[in-house]
Amino acid sequence: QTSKKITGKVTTETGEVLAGVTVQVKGTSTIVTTNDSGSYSINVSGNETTLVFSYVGYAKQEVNVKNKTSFDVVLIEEKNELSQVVVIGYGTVKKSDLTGSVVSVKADELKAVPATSFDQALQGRAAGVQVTQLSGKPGAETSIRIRGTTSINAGNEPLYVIDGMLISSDGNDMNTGVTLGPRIGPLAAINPNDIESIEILKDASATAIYGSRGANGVVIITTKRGRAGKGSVTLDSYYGQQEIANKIHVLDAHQFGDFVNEAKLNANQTPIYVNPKNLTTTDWQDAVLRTAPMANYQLTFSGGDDKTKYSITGSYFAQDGIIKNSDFKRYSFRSNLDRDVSKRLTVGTSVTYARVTSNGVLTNAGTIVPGVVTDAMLFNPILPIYDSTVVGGYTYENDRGKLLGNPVAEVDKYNSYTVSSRFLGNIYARYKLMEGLEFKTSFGLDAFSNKENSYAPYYLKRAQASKGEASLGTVQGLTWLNENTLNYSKQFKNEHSINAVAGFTVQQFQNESLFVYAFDFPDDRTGYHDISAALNPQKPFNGESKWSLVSFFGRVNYTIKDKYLFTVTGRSDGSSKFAEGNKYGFFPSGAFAWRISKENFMKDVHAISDLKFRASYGVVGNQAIPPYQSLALVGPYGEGVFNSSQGSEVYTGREPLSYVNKDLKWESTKQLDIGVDISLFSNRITFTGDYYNKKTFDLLLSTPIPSTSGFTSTLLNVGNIVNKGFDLDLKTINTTGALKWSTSLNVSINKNEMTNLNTSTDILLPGGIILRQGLPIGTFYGYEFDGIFQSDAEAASSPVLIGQEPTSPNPASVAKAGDRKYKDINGDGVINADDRTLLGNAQPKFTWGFNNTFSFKNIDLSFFFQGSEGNKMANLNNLDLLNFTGQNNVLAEAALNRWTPENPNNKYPRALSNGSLDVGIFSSNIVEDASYIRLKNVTLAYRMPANILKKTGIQSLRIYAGATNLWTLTDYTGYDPEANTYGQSTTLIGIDYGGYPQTKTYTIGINVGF
Amino acid sequence: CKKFLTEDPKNVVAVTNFYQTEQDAVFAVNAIYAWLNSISSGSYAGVYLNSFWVTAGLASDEMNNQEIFSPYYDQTATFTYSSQNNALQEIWYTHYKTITLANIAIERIPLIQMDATLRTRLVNEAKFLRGMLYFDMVRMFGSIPLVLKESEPLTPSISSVDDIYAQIISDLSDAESLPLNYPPGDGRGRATSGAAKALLAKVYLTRGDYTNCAAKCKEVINSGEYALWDDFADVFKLSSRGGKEAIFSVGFGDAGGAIIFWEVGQFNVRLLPTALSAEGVENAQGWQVPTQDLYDSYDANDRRRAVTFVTEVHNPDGSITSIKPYIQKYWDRIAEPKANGTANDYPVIRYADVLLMLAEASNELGNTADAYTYINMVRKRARFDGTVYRDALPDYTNLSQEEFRAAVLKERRWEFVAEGQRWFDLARTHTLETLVPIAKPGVTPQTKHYLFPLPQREIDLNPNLVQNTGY
Repeated sequence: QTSKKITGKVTTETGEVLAGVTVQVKGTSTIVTTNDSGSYSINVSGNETTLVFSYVGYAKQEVNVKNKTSFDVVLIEEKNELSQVVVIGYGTVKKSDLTGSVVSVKADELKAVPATSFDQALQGRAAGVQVTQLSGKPGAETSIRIRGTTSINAGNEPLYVIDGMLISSDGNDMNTGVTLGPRIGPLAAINPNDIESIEILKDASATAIYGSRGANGVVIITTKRGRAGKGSVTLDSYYGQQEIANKIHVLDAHQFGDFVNEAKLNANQTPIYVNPKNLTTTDWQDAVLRTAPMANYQLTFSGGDDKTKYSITGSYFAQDGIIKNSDFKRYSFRSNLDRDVSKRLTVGTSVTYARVTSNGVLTNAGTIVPGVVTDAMLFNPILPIYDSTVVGGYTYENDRGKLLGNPVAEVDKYNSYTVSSRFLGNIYARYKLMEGLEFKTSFGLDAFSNKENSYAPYYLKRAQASKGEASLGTVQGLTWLNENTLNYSKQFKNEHSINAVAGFTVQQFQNESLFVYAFDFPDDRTGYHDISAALNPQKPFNGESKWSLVSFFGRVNYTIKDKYLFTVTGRSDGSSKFAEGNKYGFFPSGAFAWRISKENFMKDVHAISDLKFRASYGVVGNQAIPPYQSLALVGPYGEGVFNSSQGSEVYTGREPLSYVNKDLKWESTKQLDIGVDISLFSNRITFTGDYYNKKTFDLLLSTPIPSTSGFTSTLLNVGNIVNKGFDLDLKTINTTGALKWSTSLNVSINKNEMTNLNTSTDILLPGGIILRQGLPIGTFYGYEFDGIFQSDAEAASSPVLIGQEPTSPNPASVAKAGDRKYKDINGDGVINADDRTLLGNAQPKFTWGFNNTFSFKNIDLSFFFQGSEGNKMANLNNLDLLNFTGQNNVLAEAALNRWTPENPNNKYPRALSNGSLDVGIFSSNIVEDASYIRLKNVTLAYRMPANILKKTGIQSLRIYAGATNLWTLTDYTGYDPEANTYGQSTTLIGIDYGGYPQTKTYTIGINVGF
Repeated sequence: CKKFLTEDPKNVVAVTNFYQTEQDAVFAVNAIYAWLNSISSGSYAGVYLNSFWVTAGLASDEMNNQEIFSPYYDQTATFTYSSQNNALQEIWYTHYKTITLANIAIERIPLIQMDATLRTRLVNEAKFLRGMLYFDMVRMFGSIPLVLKESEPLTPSISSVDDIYAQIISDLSDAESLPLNYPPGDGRGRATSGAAKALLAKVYLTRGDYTNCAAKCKEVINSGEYALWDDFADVFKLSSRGGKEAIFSVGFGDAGGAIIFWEVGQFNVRLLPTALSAEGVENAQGWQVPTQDLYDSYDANDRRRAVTFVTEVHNPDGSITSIKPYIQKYWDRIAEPKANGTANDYPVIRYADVLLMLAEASNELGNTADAYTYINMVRKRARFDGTVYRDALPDYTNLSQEEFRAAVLKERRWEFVAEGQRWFDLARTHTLETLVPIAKPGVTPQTKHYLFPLPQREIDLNPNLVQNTGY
């Protein structure tokens, strides 16, 4: 028997050497790995003929050695969707073996969009996942809905699992409310560049393993880990410039002067501005906005040998906001280590620490005066920014009637600073008990602290009543999680295989907060740094919160002949949030998949490379309510006096503050999913389509109850919500060869309905939103705008608002030509609250993403479009911007085309100072179509050829330039069709009022590997 | 594991760890009292803030409504109300709210380790209050749920009127062992034995049990705790609060600023005319006004007419403007010159009521001597004009039993204006149909009006409730 030595080199298609590639003599235990320069050397005996080359992410390759002694191998990067490994709860599975509905998003796709938080980068990348960017504020959070909105009073954000750690994403637990406006997302602490892949579990089969937290879907994040082979050092960096995507055009000083004068004349009042032509304009938006830089630097060390693997990263990210004095900075490091201690035992750890600091400006609505964005849109353009005759040196306030503070003074002098840090880490040990049976235990910690400071000096309009105010808030929280799982997998004679997991986990969350504030700071110098300088301190308060979960779960995957796949999953969760007797909930699911393409009758259908049919059904839960809801808390409520001739004796009582509902239990969602996976023409076309029907029952709903209970409402398990829809995902490889072009398209269609609210009474919410049985969440309700009265006669003979009738005591308010008309829905001849009607819905009919990637030699180009169709937005800004009383600045396009006898129109009313009665009316005029198509990202990248780099010692070099939010097509007239003033609120969606505007970003970047 | 999942918050007190100390027991009972006046949320309405006595006044020949934006009060005044009446809903809610607090106290306090005497007293105070509240409710609504425990079904069934009265009598009888009085500054104003007996007398009177009514009235009188003020005007002075005529009252006011929250009464705001602003009175709305018939029914020399009504306004220039009558009896002009809210008590039951009840019961029992003695005590005071007894309102003599009944009812009308008595008196004596149309021509109460409709909200939420006939 002879033996020979075979040598060679392994490279990628682009010529880069591959270190750490496993080279095995087929059928033997002879294994070597390639060294730093990609070379290998292996001994082969005479009767052995085949070498197998394998490397994660690349297609396995077998070569017949024949009588050669040298082989150079080129490994092809794995493009076959179906053979990819997908992370599922407590395990992994080949995509082809999936029975549930899971989308996988890889690091490459996430890299394209510069984002402070990975949830932003997910937008448009996965079918069934609707991501809404809530504002353009640096570090701002997003709202994620996986297959619709399932709850009204409990949370709707998905569960996040980061390297096995179940993360609380409820911002309410992490903020003190001192730095107002959209909060800094809790997930912003995780560096998106550290992420290897994101898996989104959508159907009950996939999420039931997370039981009571699965109803809103699960997002599993896996961070990058080291690989065996030569250690590598990579530097990733980019620099970007952001600018406002879209400015709101309002009147200049001359136009505004004319406008105010006309409004006064129309109300028989004296004009104010003598010669508007000579007035100087202050562009308040320009005065607060800027072009702002952002930059990211990241250094990664990774590598390992056959026993130890490591990946260590450090990064610094800094972003200035497009509104002056707002910014976001993050310092973070991560260390992932894995070590095989023995043949049976592997231990490892993942540790992340991030520190985030942010300066903020007040946006959205505010107390006394609105936030700076609204101030800047509406402030009188005739007034100057500075006024040296006033304390503080700034023009104090709008002088036209609408209460507005000087936005520049707000931006310059209002101080709002947040510093938060988050430690996320876990350790694990995995022990192989026997062939196919493995035990794993892990312990994880998620510790965060957040400190928020704010200060408004006395010379700001905002602080007029308080004479200067400072607030300090701090919150600290800790989640710990212990997980123990047993994994078993076994193949029986190639016919059957079984893969099972059983586990026990314990988790606890607790937080503590402290909040202090004080009024009246006569001295402006110390601000929030010395709260004791205040003359009028306010009562401090603090809070605590705690919940615990104990869970048992199991899953069995059973496969017959690779054709019939069965999955049964169950989880039992015990939660402290519910009363004795209702603490435990059981959440089962089952799934079946049939790989039709493996059937004999499909053998000759060559066009179909893979065809799989999937069906699953199960129940998952939601427990995202605050703790202590099932306890009746006792507190002081009533007090009183016993009076007598000797004076008055004060007494106070204590009583239960809420109804004790011991029956409070889990909110549950039953979900049916039917899906198909098709792969055609040797995987050139892959398609995944799913239909789902989610019915949420036992909805945790604040409900009216009989007064004999002593209370009028409580949280009850009543009500139903149904979400049904389709997730469609198509990927095609259009051309191969020198020019490679691939396309991916995903579409999410969802229909939502509150099928039962346990009351036939409408519940009216702020922002024109109505909750009514039979309607979707986010339905708008108000008057129907019906054009403009073209003549006084028409106005006199039409139904009008109360006070606009010809008999009205105030002649100025009588409806005349040029005033707005509303529809008399009930036909009773007057316009009042009974004439309100449904005005559309904030939920889109569908959302989509469309990506094209071209690569030619060393150049890559990608275009990513993304959009939303059929959703309405309440543009509350227009309540003011279309208010033609002259109290504030208005939309230029509307005001310049306002109704005048000489220039009538049917859209915009006349200017009218006093007597205009339709100010602040929520009508179809305010509800706009917010559908959009957006070129979310364009990236052009150049990869330096390996042969050029050879001499430099640099392994790889990629440079790129990109643009985000470059182009948007929409009819929406606000800053951006994506916004929500109420953040992640469940019911208050599609409402835009003075939010931080979205940005357009240009970036250049570099990735270098050493 | 079980302990791990048990909630034990440290920053808040839960029902599970309250009701453990003597102080907790006192707090639990105070909470019941605190719901009688006003509370710190919603419409601020406690049981006796306004809807109760306003409804009792409007649904009778006593008052009319002038409050705009309150169409439900217009409907009450004209007997056109429906089950959707806001005031009835408020009465229902506030009574049951307070009853549930009494239930908690009655059930929890006996389990607390504490001074036994105080423990018994506190439970009996709660029983007094529960009996008082159910007495309001059974008279207004008839068959309603009799919830008596802390934990009751969310949709309880109704109980018969007899069962409800049996419970009221049981609660008030237990409360008879309360102290006779409390020292000023140490609980004066809490429920007493006398209050329980006086209320019990009224329960018996309402049930037609005149023997027991008379017996309880006598016990109150013989206790020596109570007496009439010589001058009717003194009854409503702030300095008379908790005084000799007050058997049970609900306190209002902020105790001179000791309570930062709004605990003032609504008598002045609702009853005084806006025209009084000329005298420096603030926030007088004149929402509820007496019927002209009520004013006209008084003898001109009846002290009670002058005390109860204001008919003229003194302008700053010294001139006087005559106005139609408004009710001013709760306004202590000297102590509260600007009126606005008031710190005056709401009299749930006062000594004059006991005297008139005894007169009424004695008449029914044929004990005419007692009947005249007690009704004439009240008439005598009405003759006193502050310095002398006028030649008016002579003592009643030689009335037939029927005439005496009518006389007592009139006396009650003159004595208790705006004290939340009139609808109950007319309903008890079955005179709504005959007396209301006299004061309010065209307004014709019917048989169904001897009970109010159960609030529609409650009917909608509790299928076990049965709406009263005719609604």
